[in-house]
Amino acid sequence: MVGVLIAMKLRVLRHSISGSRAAGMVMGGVAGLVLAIGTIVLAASSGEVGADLLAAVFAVWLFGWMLGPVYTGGGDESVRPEHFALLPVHPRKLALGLLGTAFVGVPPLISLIAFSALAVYAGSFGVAAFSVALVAIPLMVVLVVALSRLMIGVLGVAVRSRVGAILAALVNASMNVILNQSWVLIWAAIQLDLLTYGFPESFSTVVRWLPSAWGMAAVEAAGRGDWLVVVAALLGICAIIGLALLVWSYLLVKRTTTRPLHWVPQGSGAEGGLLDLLAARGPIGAVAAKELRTWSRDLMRTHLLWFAIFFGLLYTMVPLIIDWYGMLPWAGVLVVVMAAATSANLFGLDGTSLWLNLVNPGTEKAEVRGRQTAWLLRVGPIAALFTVAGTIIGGEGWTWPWTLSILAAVLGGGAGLIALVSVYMLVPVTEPNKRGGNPLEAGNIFGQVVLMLLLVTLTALPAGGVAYLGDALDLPVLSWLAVVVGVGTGALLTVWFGRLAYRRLAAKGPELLSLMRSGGTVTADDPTLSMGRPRAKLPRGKQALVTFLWIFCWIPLFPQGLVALWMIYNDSATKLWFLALHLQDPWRVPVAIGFALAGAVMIYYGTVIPSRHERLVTDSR
Amino acid sequence: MTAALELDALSKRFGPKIAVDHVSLSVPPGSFYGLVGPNGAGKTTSLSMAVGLLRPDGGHARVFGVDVWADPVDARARVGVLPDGLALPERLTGRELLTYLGRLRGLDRETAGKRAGELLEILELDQAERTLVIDYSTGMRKKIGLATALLHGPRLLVLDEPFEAVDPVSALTIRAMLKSFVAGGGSVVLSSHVMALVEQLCDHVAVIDKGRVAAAGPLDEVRAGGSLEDRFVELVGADIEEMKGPSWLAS
Repeated sequence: MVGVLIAMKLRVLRHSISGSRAAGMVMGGVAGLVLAIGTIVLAASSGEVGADLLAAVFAVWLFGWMLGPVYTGGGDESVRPEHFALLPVHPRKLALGLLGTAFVGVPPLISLIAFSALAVYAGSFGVAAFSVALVAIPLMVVLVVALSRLMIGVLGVAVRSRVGAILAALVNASMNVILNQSWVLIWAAIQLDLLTYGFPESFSTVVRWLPSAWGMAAVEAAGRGDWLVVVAALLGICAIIGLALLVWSYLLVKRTTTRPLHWVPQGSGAEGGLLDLLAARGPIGAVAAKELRTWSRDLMRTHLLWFAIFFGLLYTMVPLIIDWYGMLPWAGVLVVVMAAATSANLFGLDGTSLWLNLVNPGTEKAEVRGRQTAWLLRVGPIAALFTVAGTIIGGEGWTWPWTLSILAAVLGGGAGLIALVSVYMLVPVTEPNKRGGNPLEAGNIFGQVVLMLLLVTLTALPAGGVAYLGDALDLPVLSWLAVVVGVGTGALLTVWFGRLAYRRLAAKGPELLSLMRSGGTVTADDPTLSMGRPRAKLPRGKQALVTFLWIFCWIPLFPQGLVALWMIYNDSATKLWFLALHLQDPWRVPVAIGFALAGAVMIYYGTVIPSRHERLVTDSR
Repeated sequence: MTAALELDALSKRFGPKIAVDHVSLSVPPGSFYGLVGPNGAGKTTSLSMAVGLLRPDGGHARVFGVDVWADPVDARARVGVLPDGLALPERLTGRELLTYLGRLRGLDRETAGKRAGELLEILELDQAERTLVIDYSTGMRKKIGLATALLHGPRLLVLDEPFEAVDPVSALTIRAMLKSFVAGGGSVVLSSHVMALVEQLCDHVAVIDKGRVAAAGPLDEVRAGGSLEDRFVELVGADIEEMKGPSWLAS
């Protein structure tokens, strides 16, 4: 059973490896390897603080395994329980078989290397401890993989609900924020001087009692000759594995024998509601009402919207750890920018329901304007609230014109850009009726999100420029004029980009529809058998290069470029890992600008290489 | 003689809606049983509960006397199922899919390979040897689903809309295959909207309407002299005389 399932999974993997996936696998593997080796090195440098740190790092591995599936969209589902729902196999046996397939792949191998750190750690405790470590290492790997599967099982049932979608957004946003704001955490660690004084008592106790540290506990106990504790720790790990499997097999049965009920809000369809009033106000109002309902009922849209809200909120709140309130006024602006970025696939998210517009010529304008209105109604009030509250708490008198003008500018710019980008750069995603409730199947919108973040930021430049002039010349009137400029450019961009969008929708509707139809599939090697081929496939080397450019363009662009510039402008005393800040004065600004340019160039080539290749292929056909 | 498939007061409720309300049916062994009913009558829900894909709120389902929900392992080994909107490992070719499923059903490597090849040939899927299931057309998906149902040589087939979206030539192949299966002593339960097809193929029929069994038994008994279509319309209470188009279309 396990053997056949593993062979099946390997075959599926072989069929689905593309250039970008291979590049991602290699890069993920290398990054994981570095972390695993880091864990081993840490284990070698013993000491009381070192042991606590090792326990913390093992906890990170455990949580990485448990949160990974949330982050990557429900985990690896190449071999799904649904596929075996009809087989005469006991659920527990199936769970065991599927667990077997979970050990196939790069991550378990990396984890095996990471947990080998236990053997290194045991080195200082003698031979008995070392042999206990040899037993504990595979057990720990099985433990993290089993708990990860359990998490996927829970998600598979929980995530089908609206609450699940919002929770997933919270987790997703937290992980993104931690990645983006890690410099704050590093700063805090340096300030508290963790490496010399160790963690606070309570923190060490918690990481030492987590199951991730039980392997360590067994090794230490073996070193002391306390065999009762050794046996208890190892049996404890086995018990958790068994329990996880038992619950998981129960969830598997639940998942394959129940059907999710779709959430319908209370009181919907009642006459005279606000949305009905909106819908009564002509075609644009009708589209806006439809869109507002979709924003709250489509799990994927719910997830994307809440992701933006949590992202903006958490991003500006993390610096509170080091008592810095200066980011709070920007929470609203960040929510708008992120919401625009995640909404830029507005038409793609609805799949082929675009046919409704194609058979109703002349409705394109209402469709675009209604969608813009709905987006503004969804995002605007929350962003305004965050901005006002944030500026009151964290801002000063001079911040008001800045935040208000830029908020107006990005709201308008975002409303324009989501319409424009969604018809010019449509990304095909799984049809809404085939999504299976997982809000994380948002498709490959990474490149689109990146581009949108950049474009929306650009729309803030005029308003920001005027606000800057006002500050520089010390003219409050000019500063407040920035708000007028922000409202002006926002309105202009909304109207103008919206017009471009509905004209394109009217002209290219059928092409967009066929792109959505064919886009969801990837075909086998033989091109004559392919049913639909949305894009010309890049050769593997080029694909790897493009993926690399998109993943790493951030580092020069934001932290090393723009953030460094901002800190130079603010005369910040801290240098951290911002290279430009470590240089002497004539070089600081040029180096930071150079980094930003390098990032922009990387983005440029990341976009140009695929499109050039596509043109080449289409021309030669 | 135990029935090939027995539905005993199966019930299912989705939120406020009662989808299936105490449906009881008995499929004699060696019969070709047709299940007909309007859209949303509960055909798919009943069949899903009968084969162990959807947990019923109440009632029992038995395959050759084995309770599907008390002893799912034994029951599933005796039945071949083509579910509606089935999930498949999308990134396998048809042959790979059948071979792996055969091995999971406990066939040895050689037998699994041989059966997979034969099924692909009969269902004319062998030309699409290098196409992944994800790129199959709707009809091809039906056919590969049918192949997975036949793989382990069950004595009962439960097929949800097997002819939907299948081309006429393949439909003839499938019909011939099912007829010879029944002639050899096997039993088939299928659901369909096409009355003429059910009339031609089936010897037993059940009409399901609003989650209940409106009529069930041998074909001739149910249609009682008339055509199945007339009887169906009568049973589900639609009045043809009063059928009319939207007011603004009638001139």
